[in-house]
Amino acid sequence: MTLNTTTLSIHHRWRAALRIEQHLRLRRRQSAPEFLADLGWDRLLDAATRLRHAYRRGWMTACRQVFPTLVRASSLVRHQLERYEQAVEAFLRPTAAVSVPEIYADLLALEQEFDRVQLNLRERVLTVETGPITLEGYSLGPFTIRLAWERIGDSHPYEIAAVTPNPAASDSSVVHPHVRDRTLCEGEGQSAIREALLGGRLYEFCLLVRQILETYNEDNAYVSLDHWSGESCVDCGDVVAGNPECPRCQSTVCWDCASSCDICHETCCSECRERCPECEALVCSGCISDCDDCGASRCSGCLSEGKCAECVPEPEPEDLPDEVPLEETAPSTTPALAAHAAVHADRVGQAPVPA
Amino acid sequence: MQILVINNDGGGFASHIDIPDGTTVQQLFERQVKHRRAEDYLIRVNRQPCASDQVLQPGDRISITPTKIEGAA
Repeated sequence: MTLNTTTLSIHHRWRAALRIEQHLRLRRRQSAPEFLADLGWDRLLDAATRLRHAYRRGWMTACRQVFPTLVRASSLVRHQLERYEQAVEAFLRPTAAVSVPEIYADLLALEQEFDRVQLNLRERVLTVETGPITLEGYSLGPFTIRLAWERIGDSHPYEIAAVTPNPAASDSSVVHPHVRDRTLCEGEGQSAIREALLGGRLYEFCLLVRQILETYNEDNAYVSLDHWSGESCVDCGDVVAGNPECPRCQSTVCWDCASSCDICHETCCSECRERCPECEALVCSGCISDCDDCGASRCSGCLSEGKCAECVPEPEPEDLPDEVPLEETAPSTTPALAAHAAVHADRVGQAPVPA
Repeated sequence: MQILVINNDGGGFASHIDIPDGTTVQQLFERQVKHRRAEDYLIRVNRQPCASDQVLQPGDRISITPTKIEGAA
């Protein structure tokens, strides 16, 4: 039986609190805190490497762009280390079991804090619904936090679902930058969520999850909001937003894949351009056509009146006389040779030789 | 007097601590979360929103939860 906020009674809340306390008492065990799986060290090293790389090349603008990422990464590492220390301290410190009245008070407080609270006693599930969540202008709608209380102590005892899904264009399983396949990547909230669940503090657990959903971490998202509602590039498949449209086929093409025609300089996708076999220019489909005679593809620069170079007819020879009289061709009569004779006489230095 | 503090900015641990009589919510916050602004946190006394100048009572349950908690991927 599922009961929503309007019908939850003292009796139902009390029954749920009893069952939750019973489960926690049975499952309550001391386990050594695991070393943090994701310290964030790799991100810090990556940012530091990029900063060093940019600095060595004198790229100060790039340095300034990387610096905020470095600060966030180092802050995360510092935070995680502090939490690990606290986890070890808590492990060594005896903890009190949560009481039924405390759990009851949590369920009552949840009804005041959240828009909707449901208790399914048969399935042992508590569901709360957040208000609408908007991150950087993207309306993601409300989310439900569905806790199977008999799985507290297991990995993933709860799941997140979008009430009115607005998933990422590139991955429908991502309904929130930090939720994939109904699983929230808790990030900074991991330790606190774990402690809240093991301690039976359902009110704090739901608050923590809601605050993670209301926070956008642009450096570590399954899909960033910049790419949330974009379209896939027809060439490489990357999801892009605000990118050009190929004027030939109207497909979205990213700036990396777009190329301009060598003749008309129009930007188009790879499907709509080809290389001219004659001159090897990369041209769009509007600047390449077939020779009227042989049908060979040529760019407009290689076609002359619709014909390729091989099919263009040779020019007609000009009209010239068949023979020219010898005397007319004598060197002394030609203007060039006459000019030559004025400088140098023919047969200079010749004298009759007696027989 | 003794109260229960749940600091979700740290590891989320619940600890009973002793505080002087007359301690306000603001004073407790400054003691538990140093160098931070209270408006960046959800502060609940006995699971209810509270005023910064509310005087704490013995046995009160105070939770301090950051409004911004970064998830990951």
